[in-house]
Amino acid sequence: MSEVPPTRMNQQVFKGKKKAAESGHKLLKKKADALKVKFRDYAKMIAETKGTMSTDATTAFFSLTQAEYAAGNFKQKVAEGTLTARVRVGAGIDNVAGVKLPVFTIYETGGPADNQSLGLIGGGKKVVQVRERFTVFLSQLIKLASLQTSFVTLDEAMKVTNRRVNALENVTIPKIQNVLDYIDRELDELEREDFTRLKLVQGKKEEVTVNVSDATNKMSKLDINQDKDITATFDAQDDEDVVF
Amino acid sequence: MSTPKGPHGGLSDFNIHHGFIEALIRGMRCSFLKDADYHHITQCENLEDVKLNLSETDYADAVADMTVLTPSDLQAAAIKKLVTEFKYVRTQAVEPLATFLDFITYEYMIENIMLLLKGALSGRDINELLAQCHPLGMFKDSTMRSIPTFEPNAKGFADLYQTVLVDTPVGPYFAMFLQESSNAMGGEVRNVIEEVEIEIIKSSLIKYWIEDFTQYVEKLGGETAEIMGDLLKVRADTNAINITLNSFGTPLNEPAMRASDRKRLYPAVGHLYPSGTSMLTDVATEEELGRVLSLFPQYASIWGVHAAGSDKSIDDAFYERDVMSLELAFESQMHFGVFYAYVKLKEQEIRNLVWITECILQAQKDEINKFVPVFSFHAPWRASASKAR
Amino acid sequence: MSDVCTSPFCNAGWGELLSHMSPYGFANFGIAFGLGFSVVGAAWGIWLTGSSLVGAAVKAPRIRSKNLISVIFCEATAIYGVIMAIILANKIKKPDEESYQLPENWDFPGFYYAGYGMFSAGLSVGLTNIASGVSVGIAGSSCALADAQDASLFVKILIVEIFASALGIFGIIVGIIESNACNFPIAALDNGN
Repeated sequence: MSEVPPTRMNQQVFKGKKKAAESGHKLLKKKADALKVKFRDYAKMIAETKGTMSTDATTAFFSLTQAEYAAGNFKQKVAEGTLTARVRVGAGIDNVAGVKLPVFTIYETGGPADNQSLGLIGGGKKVVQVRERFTVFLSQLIKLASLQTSFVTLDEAMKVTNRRVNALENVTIPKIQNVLDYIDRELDELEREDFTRLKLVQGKKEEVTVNVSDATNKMSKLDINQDKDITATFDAQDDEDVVF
Repeated sequence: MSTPKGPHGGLSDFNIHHGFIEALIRGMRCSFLKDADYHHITQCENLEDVKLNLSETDYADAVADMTVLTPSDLQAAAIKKLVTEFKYVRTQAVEPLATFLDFITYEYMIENIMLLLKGALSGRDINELLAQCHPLGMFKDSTMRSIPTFEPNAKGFADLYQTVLVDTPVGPYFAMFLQESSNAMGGEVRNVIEEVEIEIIKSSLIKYWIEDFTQYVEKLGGETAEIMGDLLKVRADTNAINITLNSFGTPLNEPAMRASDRKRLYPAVGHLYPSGTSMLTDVATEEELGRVLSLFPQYASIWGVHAAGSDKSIDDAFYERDVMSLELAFESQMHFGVFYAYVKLKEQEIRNLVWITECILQAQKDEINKFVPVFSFHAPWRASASKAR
Repeated sequence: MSDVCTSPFCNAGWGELLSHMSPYGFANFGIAFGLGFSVVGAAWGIWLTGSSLVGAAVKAPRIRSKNLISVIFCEATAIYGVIMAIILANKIKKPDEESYQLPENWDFPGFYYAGYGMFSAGLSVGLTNIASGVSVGIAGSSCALADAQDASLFVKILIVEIFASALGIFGIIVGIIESNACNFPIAALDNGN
């Protein structure tokens, strides 16, 4: 702070800086608010999805139990068979107030379902039911995954933004303000000093003129020496800066 | 493939060879969970209580060394118990009962071989696969291990064909299936195994098994032919109906496939054969199936359950009917049907236990009673019979 | 049977054999059949019951002593045969005078009546006891199986067994009545009287 030379020029520079900081602060604040709104939305959506998902999961796994009751244990048959994906997850990007959020979408590959004849001898209908329930469950799961990832990213972005807002508000702007205050003060001080000096000079001048008027007549040679002495007596070191 | 070495005897000479075993299996009938046991278990809040309740039943030893009871562990332990009992009976048996008991295990062998073949094609670890096999359908360990070790090329498949065909009792079924399929497809063994879905191969093999078993039972004659023959007929019909019903919405229901592939899966025995199965061949929708089944009184009521669309599914209806006919097998003496019935009823009981424990685990208290108890006095058919009395 | 025996010591056929057999022989065969068939019936019944009993007792050991009653019922069948055999055996009396030939005035009708009567008495006891033994055995086997499931069924099936056992008693009653009239003559008839 003190390194800044208290000049008019610097005052102008810092005034500019302050203005920039304040507008930046305003913008960031807006961004933080937007993020916060989105964040709340996501939190709400996650809570909702989780709520429905828990029932979806229960029904899905229970339908599996039902199917195993009807068709025997078919997990191995599914696991041992060659599997081609019927559903894939696509990754996209959503932009919220300049923050890039990953979005997962489910899309069907259009491939035929494997193991269609599972439970042919018994329980086939139940197996179909399991397939449907778990497809629903899977889409829910992907939705939740998307929301959760966005949520985490958003959380991170929000933290950064908030930190910036706070830094601007509590550190940068006060600092600039301090510098400005300091420069103001210093400039005032200098002004006051100048004023005093001018006063002093004026006083000395008046004294001199009185003396001169008195002595001109007496000793005209001394006049010149006196004049030189006035400037010689001024010493900048005598007058220490007042530091606050 | 197997010819009985003479009839098993009637009322007065059945006991010469099979009296002890039959009495044994009937003694084991005591080990089925009673209505009261089911009642207690369904009231349990957690699996710890279930374990406590089970330790007062015949499953005491099975659950004794379990620290934490899980449905799958319980299932494994119960199957192990069943297999131990079955093996005990099998070692006591003499011909022709021994072959009869072997026939029961063929069903599981078929399943195991299918599992091994498919697992091998997708490159699974053999030990992992063996652990998943049903213990009732095990061959010699060396045979089991040799099945998935073939090379995936034409020669390897020929070798496999030899191994599976020669060394296992279910080989002839494979031979029949491969013969029939390669006639239809004009391809090699490998094509058949790779291209045909595992469930369809299994259904075909089960069909051959049912037919072969029926033939064997017919040869045994007497009470066995009557009671066991009926059980198998019912089983064959159940398969035919289920295959038709479950093929809707799959490629199997396409008009071209119906006659060529689906028809081949219908067993050539049963009450529906031949007029019913030939009608089933042309069925394309559920309504048509219902119309065909309405001609057969014994299946019309089961179809009614499905058509009514209540929360009871057709599988439940079939299970209920199976349990009834299997229980009826116990009402008669001096025949082999009880051995089959015992294994199947035990399987139902294991299913029930898994169902109940899963329901408790998943907190589905409303659904917990949707199982078919074995030898229950509250069974619908018994209840109506006692009312009539 | 291409070469028919032509010797005078040969029998012409089964008819001659049976008609020339001594009534003593018939009587003793009657005892043998009566006892033998009864024992066959009893033994048959015991293994029918026994194998089921042993098997069922593996899972329900409590039935093992109670169901010995079924075995005892079967055993009773053999006892009927033994009783009959003793009764019949006591009726066989040898002639007072020992000679190679029976006297002219020997009571031949009574003699043959006694022989045939005792033969058929023994046979009727034996055959009924086979039937009785087998049926008791089957009922006993069912009894063991039923008792293993439900102890309250034991008494009910036991009654069935008792009826099956009664079949043997019918045989023995008829056999005793049949044999009552059979008296082997021990001396020649008095011609004068």
